[in-house]
Amino acid sequence: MASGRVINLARFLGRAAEPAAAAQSSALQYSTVGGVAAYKLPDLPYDHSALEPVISGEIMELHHKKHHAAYVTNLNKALEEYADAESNKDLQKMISLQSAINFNGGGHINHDIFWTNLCPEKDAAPPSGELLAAIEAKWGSLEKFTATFSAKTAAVQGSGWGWLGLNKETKALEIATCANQDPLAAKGLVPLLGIDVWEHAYYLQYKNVRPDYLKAIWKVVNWENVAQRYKAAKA
Amino acid sequence: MAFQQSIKILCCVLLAASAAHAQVQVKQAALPYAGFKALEPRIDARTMELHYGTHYAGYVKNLNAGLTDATASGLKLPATDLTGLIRSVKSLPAPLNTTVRNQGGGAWNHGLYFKHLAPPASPSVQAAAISPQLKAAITLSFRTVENVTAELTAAAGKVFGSGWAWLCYTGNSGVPLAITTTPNQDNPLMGNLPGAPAVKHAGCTPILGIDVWEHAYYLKHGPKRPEYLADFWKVLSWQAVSANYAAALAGNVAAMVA
Repeated sequence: MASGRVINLARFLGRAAEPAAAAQSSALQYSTVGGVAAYKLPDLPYDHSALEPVISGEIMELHHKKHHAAYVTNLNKALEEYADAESNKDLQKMISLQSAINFNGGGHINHDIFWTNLCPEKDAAPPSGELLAAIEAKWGSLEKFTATFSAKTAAVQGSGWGWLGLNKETKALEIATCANQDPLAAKGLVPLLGIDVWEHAYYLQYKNVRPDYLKAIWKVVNWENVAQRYKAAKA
Repeated sequence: MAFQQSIKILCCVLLAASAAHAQVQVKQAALPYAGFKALEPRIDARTMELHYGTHYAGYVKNLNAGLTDATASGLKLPATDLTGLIRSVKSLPAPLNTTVRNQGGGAWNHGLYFKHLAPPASPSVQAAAISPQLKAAITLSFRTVENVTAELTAAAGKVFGSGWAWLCYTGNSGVPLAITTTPNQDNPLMGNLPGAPAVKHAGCTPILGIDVWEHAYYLKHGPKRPEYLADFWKVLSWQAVSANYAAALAGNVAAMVA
């Protein structure tokens, strides 16, 4: 029987940077039905076909309605089981559920950010103001930043993500990569822009040529959203 | 006379030196069936073409480039074959250790994979093709063939992200077979790698491998890995797995991937 308590996802993820994690996961939508809290799959801020020709509608549909949806479903299931185990004081069971919560919780957090980081090509504008100044200060130019980001992200072994993050302590921008669905917050960085390089993110269209996907995706990056996240992170 | 002797000695020394720095290069295993369409309708031709011709080929190419760089810099390799390099990956210096782990692992794993598949109509995919030796090992370790395929399927389904599920020879005569999984292109022959999660039955010898990287199934099945796994069993050659088991017992692991 689920306890109905809202579980702070951040408790399980990124313990080293809990404030950063909490700030991110508190933005996730959830509903409470019959006393049970359940995370919700967010709608995309655009149609599934809106990022064509950079990312096909077929990929966006599968990615959002199958992959992300599965993370949400499996996260809620794991959290419900965790709540049961907790109320039964079954510590072994609680421990055994940690990896499912990490995988699926991380997947939900990451994809929730990802959809907002993208926008139709016609609506995409390059960064400006403080964000651009910070990028230029660190990498010399936007082109050098995107080239460095793409190279590091292309080099991810297997499944993972490339990130632009803000180091909460130094207030500096950093590029980082994470394996699988490991949340960036665990590295002490606030996620600003994430690019998914699990094969499901690009394979149907780009096949194994991950560098081509990484080159093209810059056309649909929503820098306005990245700037908003940057401003919030520095506050 | 002394001069001629010196020349002979010098030639011998030079020959020996060049042999020590002879190029170690790895080749893709040939497909033991007639082309990319052979496993249809279970594994589609387009996936075979990309998986074998681009992914597997890429691992071999990148491994060979890394080996060339290493020997050019004067490094003496601890082994001259792929399996030997895989086994000794922990002892290799950077950056060769990473190249052998990721690219060499990819080369080894895909050699095993492609070589132990067969057309769905082939008798070698039937359980009847399991050798008496392998059958006995399955009985000891899992009781039935149904059990081992069910457990392998479950293990393959649970791999998060990219990786492989393996049926391995443990070297333990009481329980000769075991199932384990590894991430990315790691493989149990590498043992436990620093910084990586501990591998169950680390050091065991794979005789059957299921690739669950998305590229192995995404074109045909999208996210539905269980459907790919059902297809996999229809093209898995028990005859080849039996041969792999015999090779593992005989200590001739390299033959599984060549």
